[in-house]
Amino acid sequence: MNIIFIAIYFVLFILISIFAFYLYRKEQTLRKREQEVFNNAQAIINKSNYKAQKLIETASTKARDILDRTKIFKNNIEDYASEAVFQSVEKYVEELERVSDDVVKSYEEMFDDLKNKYIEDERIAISKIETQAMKQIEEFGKKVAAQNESYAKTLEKLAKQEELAVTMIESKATKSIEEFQKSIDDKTSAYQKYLEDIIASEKLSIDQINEVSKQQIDDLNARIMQTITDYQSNLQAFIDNEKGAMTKIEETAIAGIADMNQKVTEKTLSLQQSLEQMIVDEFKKAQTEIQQYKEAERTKIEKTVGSVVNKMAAEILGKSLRQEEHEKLLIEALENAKSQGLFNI
Amino acid sequence: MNVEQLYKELFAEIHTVTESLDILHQIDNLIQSLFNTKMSFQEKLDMYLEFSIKNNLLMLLERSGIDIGDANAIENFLTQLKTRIREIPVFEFSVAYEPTSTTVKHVAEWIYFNLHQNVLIDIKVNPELIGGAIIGFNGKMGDFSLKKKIEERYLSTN
Repeated sequence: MNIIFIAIYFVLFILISIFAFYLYRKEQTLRKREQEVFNNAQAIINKSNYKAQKLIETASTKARDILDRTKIFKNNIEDYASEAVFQSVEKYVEELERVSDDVVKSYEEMFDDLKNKYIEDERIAISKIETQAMKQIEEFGKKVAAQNESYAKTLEKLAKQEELAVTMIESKATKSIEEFQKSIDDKTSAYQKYLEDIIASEKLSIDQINEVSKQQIDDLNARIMQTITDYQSNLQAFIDNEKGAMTKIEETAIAGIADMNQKVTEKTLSLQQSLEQMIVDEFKKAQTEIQQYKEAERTKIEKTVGSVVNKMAAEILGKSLRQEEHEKLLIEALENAKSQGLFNI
Repeated sequence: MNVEQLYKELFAEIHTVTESLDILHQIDNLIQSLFNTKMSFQEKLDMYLEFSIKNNLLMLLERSGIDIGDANAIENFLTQLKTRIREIPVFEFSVAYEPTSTTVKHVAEWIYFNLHQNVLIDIKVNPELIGGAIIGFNGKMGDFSLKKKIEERYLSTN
């Protein structure tokens, strides 16, 4: 029994071994086949790659050839197209020029208005200055005339006061003389009375009395006369002195008036000259300012117009140019850059 | 087609500075994925690079004798490629409007055919220019805008 089992196991082992060997051989065959397939595939791939490469090379050569040939055609088209673009642009530029001319004209008109207004304003200002200056001169003249008049009145007043003073002095002097005369007369009467009293009381002889009295009266009269003469002389000296003082005052006043007149004339002339100079300076200043203003306005206008033209060009052309036209302009830019040697090393 | 011509073809696909920055970023991502063994190089190219760049790059690798299974060699190659992209001269362009990709391509083609070299276009938009462009290249500047033309015309008439 055991032997039978052993035999069966042995047979099974042999069968399994044979099957395992079969499987091993089968795997080897499949591997070999797989390698062959892989190699074949690799060969096919390489071949197709080579073919593809060849095809690409041929296609590239052909494409290059076609490109070279079409380039001439393209250039012809571009020439025509660029001409068309240029004409289109030219039209816009003409329109822009027209618009910019209008803008410039309107700005110039505006500037002329401003300039005329400015000149008119300046004229009015200068006229005002002149009027004011004339008024000032007139006022100054009036003031001087008023001062002169006032001075003359003062002088007249002074002269009247002096005349009054002289009259008063003369009156006082006359009065004093009269009073003095009266006092002498009184004294003489009193003295005569005194003498008569003495005569009466002392009973002196008339001859003696007469002799004495006569001598004394003569002495007295002589002294009185001397006193009167001295007084009159002093009074005349006083009057002469006063008259001299008055003459001096008059002379000083006349000299003062003449000096003042001269000063006033000089001052008036000086004021007139300075006013004339001021007007000339003001006019020159105004002219310079007008020139500067004109230049500034011109620069401003040019900048504004340039900016307006650019903005309008950007808006009109930027929007109206088609993609193809933009591309043509790019190619033209490249052509220009090349012709100007930008790409030269 | 030799290697230099292939480089030119590759760079001709990159028109602007913005595009160049984008490509550099794509190459950086590709470099980072080189040592990832779960994906094949082809899959990585498909994932990270644009179609036009990818094909040119494959041809360049092949013509340069780089083994696409050698990650280190590809990394060195891509690093050099990045340096060469950064060295492409810049063509400054101020324009009045935002150009379409077609316009950019036309401009790039014009430059390529006339200057016979690869350049990167750096575009700035300034609507005041109205049309045309201000161009800067190799330290030189030129104003070829419509604004300038109009200003010149205006000044000449005043």
